[in-house]
Amino acid sequence: MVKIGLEIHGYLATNEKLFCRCAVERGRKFSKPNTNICPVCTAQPGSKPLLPNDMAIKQVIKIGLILGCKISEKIVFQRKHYSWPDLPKGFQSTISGAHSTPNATGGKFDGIRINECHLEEDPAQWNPATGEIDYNRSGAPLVEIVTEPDFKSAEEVVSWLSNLVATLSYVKTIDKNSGIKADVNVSIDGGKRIEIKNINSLRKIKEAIESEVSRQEKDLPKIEETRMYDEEKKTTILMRTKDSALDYRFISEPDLSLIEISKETIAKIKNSIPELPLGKLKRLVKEHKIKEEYARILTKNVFLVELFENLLGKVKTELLLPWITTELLGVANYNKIAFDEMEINSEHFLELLKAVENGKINELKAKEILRNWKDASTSPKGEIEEGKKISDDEIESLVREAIDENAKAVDDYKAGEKSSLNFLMGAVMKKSNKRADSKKVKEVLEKVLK
Amino acid sequence: MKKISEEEKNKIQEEAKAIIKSFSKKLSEIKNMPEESFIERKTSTRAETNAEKGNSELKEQILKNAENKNEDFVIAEKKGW
Repeated sequence: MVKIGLEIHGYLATNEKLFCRCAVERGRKFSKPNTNICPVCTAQPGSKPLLPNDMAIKQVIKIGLILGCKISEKIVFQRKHYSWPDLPKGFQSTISGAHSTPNATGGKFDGIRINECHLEEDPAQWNPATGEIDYNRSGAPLVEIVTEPDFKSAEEVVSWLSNLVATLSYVKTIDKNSGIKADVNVSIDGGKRIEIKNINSLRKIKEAIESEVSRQEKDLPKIEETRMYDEEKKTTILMRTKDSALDYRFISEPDLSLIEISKETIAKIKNSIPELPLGKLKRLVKEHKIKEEYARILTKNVFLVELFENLLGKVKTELLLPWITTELLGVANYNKIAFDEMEINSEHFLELLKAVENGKINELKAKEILRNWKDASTSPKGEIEEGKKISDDEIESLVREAIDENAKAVDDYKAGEKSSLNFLMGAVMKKSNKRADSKKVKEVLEKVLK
Repeated sequence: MKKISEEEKNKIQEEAKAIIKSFSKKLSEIKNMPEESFIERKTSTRAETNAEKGNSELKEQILKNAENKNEDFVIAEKKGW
């Protein structure tokens, strides 16, 4: 039997790093290398950490509560020692390890037991191929979520992780530009546990698990190892034999004090947790009579569902739903970006939908406007004015022009080739700069060609 | 480098053991030894403010001291994997 457990690292959404006031910037808004740095996060001799970032601690507690964990009321940072070029201090500060109680323990989420969840700092970014080190992310706060080995297949892991990411996006504790990365522990009956390090996408996680299970079935591991996934070779490669807790020489961090979390603080954080995806899905279906397939698409992304709820009742739901779940998401998919990366102002979107609903512009024109919003929306007022539907008389005039210019298509149509009508319709729409009502164009064309 | 004989090695080992044993004995004689050395403070966390961005001064200093570097990075060891 296959057993799979995960260690998931998520980048917490904070302004500052964990032990200094340097900015945390990731994803599309990357800073120039080595500019968000200070003596603390580059471990200059004599530097000492500031007190830990309160926001980071509260976010980890919130995540622990969502995962159904018990929250520790006393936490102590530990030094986890290892020698690696990305670690300027020679140790990582973490609320885990031999002498520590993690921030949250013993939970369950979506059927999988959670062993623990804790806060730690990110190392710097080291490029093993060039040796270059960027300290911009050194000291940024991370959450690590450790599951029990309850997964049985790669599919189960991917589905669970998708749900976890969607759920955590609702509380906006994870930096949306960075996503998550995971270490995956895989073992099969009778063999030792193998850890696959630092996999940063759901697709790669699935591939890595499948290839590792297949490898272990052929050659049962006799010792614990740490491996990495080689995407090109579609297999895992040995990095080192597994480190044990003793190798890390954990000690309590003498530069930081014990942190006490009051019951009141925990209760306050618990009360601040908003409605989560499953609850929202049920409510959309029950209260707003939204089909479950649409509700599932909406609730997968907090920004999408927030936009929907914001506009609900302001335009017809039967117009709003496909324009959000198909057209707007279509623009993101076409441009290979996440919907969150498009900055859509709900007022702009409402203006556009109102223009469609009132028949001021046709859907073709509206889609053209939408396509220009791949980075950010702008007020569509000017484009709506320019793209106003043209009158029936103007349509008839354009239809006659198109007929005069496309004699062959007209002959084909008259000879019974119905698809020629689509060609003529396309010619009219092009002449109208997509401002004509396509139904009207068809109607006029059929009348004139009779 | 001077090579040491097996005899010398054994002697050093014995001496090292004796030092550790004697140190352990002295430690065991200390009464009320604190278990941990935590710092006592009224506050134990800090609130976020506007983060500091774009400090190129420290970057210049670090690069100045670095033995291996390029325009933007300190260059550390390289690994095949």
